[in-house]
Amino acid sequence: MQHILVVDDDTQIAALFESFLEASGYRVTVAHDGFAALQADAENAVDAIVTDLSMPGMNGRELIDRLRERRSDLPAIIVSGFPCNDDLDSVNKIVVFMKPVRLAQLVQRLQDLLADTQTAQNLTA
Amino acid sequence: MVLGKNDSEREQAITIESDEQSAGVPASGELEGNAYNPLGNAGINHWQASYVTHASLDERNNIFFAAVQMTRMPMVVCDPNQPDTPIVFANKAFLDLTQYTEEETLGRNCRFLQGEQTDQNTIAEIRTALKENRAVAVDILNYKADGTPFWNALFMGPVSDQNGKLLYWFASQMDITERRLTENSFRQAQKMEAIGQLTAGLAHDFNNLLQIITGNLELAGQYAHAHPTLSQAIANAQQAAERGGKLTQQLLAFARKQRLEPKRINLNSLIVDFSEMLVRTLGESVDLRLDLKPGLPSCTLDPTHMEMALLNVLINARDAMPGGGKVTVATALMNDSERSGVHQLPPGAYVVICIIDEGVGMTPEVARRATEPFFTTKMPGTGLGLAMVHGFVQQSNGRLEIDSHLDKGTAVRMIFPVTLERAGASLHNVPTSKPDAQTILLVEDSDDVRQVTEKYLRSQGYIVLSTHSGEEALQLLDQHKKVDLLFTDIIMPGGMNGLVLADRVKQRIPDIPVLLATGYTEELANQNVNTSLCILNKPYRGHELTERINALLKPDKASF
Ligand SMILES: Cc1cc2nc3c(=O)[nH]c(=O)nc-3n(C[C@H](O)[C@H](O)[C@H](O)COP(=O)(O)O)c2cc1C
Ligand SMILES: Nc1ncnc2c1ncn2[C@@H]1O[C@H](COP(=O)(O)OP(=O)(O)OP(=O)(O)O)[C@@H](O)[C@H]1O
Ligand SMILES: [Mg+2]
Repeated sequence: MQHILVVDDDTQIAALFESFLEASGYRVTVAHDGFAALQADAENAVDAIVTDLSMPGMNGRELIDRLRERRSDLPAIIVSGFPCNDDLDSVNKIVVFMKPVRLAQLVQRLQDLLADTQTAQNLTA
Repeated sequence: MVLGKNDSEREQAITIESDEQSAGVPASGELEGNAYNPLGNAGINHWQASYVTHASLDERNNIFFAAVQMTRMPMVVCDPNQPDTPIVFANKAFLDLTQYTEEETLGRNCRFLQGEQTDQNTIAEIRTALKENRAVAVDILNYKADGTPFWNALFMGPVSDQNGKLLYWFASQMDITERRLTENSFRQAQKMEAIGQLTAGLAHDFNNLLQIITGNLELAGQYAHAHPTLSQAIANAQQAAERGGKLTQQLLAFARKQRLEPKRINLNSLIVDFSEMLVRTLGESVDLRLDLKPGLPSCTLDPTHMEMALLNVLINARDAMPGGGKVTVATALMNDSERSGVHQLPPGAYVVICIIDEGVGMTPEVARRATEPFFTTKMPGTGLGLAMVHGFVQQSNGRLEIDSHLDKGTAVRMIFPVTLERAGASLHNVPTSKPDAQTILLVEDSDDVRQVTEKYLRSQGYIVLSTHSGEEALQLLDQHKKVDLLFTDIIMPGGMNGLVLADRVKQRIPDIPVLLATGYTEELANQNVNTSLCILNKPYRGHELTERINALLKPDKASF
């Protein structure tokens, strides 16, 4: 079962993503800030991350950068309440959704990213 | 409103400056009104009122008279002891400012400078000052001899004899039109900026709330299949939440904080592609005409937001013509730097899209405020339409202009910079020549997957043309006519998806084999996919890929 890290300082949103992802067949770990997220991944490495952008302490982009120091091809999705116009997609390979996002769409994209990462690993192996 | 001192106050004023022949009451920093002040400070030394021993206007032989005729500050003297306080002296600068001749000026009350749009309250202020014998400063709208309006920073003060009997009124004038206009637009810009920041913050919090609402509804919906009424209730709530989401989008658009995905587009094609939708929205009473400049160069714009902007402006045009009428959508090219200067744009080439209606038009006040968020004259109206358009155009480095005449109609112009032509798509993809090798067109938006797949296919002896989007794939296809197989990802966010691409490619090369890849199989069910299509599920392995490609390229030896 693939392991997803969900990070959002809004506990209700984190809980929402958690239950929907679990219902879609993923194992989910929740963290409410960047440091807790790094800790959680150190204890039990994740296959992908879904995170908020603006959070106190460490924002979503920095969190993704730090996690990718561990695994450079980690699939990452930012779900932000605020649009960010940096072209994160093509340069940093981060998929950005704006809240409110349809959960089905979020899961679909996540599944797509996981499959892409696996394919790339297969073909380089 | 602060006025200069009146007679009794002046008597008490301690500091009366005087010499042999005249004396004055210094302003001492007291403002004579909240009008424009040419001194850059409140003014300490200039006299608000003065006393003279020689009342005559005939002594014109001294340096002071020369100074008054040489200064570029317009000045007049009026005589309150004659009926209707006529001008008895006007200096040369006054004639320059107003463009009247001396004959047209002398003997008349200064109110001949006023006109239709002059504010009656300002005139009343002057009247009060005159009655109470106080100095006053006002900004008043006046008109020159040829009818041109200008903002006049008027200062006036009384001149008396030693005994305090009023002899004359002195006044100086100054044209401050330009300053007023820039101040106004600056204030307007500041106001918009402040509202923008406020709305952006609000929209952020709102989006979080909406996420919780829509997400939980989606979750609830999954458990409500067996209950049609419940499902319906959930769907209704979801629709309302989606409307809320659109509203926050518009707020963010106005705050110039929306997420744009600019692409190189041709406005003519966008308008043509979108026109069917426009005609449907506008209804039958509106006669939509297109006047598109052939050969229009491309711009870099977010197409979806451009369509929304167009729709908003056109809906306004429709609303402005309750009885129906003609709306023209025109495009044009603007090349010369002189014209870009007029539009306050840096020199360069611009594409102009103009929407012209023959509706009720706007008063100058409405036109000025039309792009303000929440400004509306409609019931119901959000007042966010043009605010959004304005934000979008600005965020796209363009400019929005509104020309409107009451009862005649409105022209809304959006001006965008032209995108310079660049060399044809990915020259680095030019195939190495190997006569019998077969060519695969690889379309995949994930850079990682595309790069490894490309490398892998080359290692298998194929020529590979690769790109990250359907749009570019079609360009590549037009450049390299010989393509033996299309291998495309299905889900490519923000652009043409793989299924649409496959259709388009088949229009060009009807019997081309197509292999589709996807990591999300359920998507296919929703998309109504033709089951005869060959689909490779991600994640795939190298040998799976070659097997499928080989099978498609040599159908007679099909192994699946
Ligand atoms: C010395 C003097 C100069 C004046 N200059 C101007 C002027 O430049 N522009 C203007 O609109 N009114 C000017 N006025 C005001 C008008 O002449 C007039 O006093 C004003 O319109 C109020 O009176 P009313 O209500 O009779 O018109 C001036 C008045 C005086 C006494
Ligand atoms: N083509 C037009 N002709 C006349 N008045 C217009 C035109 N376009 C805009 N206006 C005026 O500008 C105001 C603001 O327009 P805007 O599109 O921002 O909001 P709205 O149309 O009032 O509301 P909404 O867009 O939510 O329906 C309108 O209420 C109307 O008074
Ligand atoms: Mg509108």
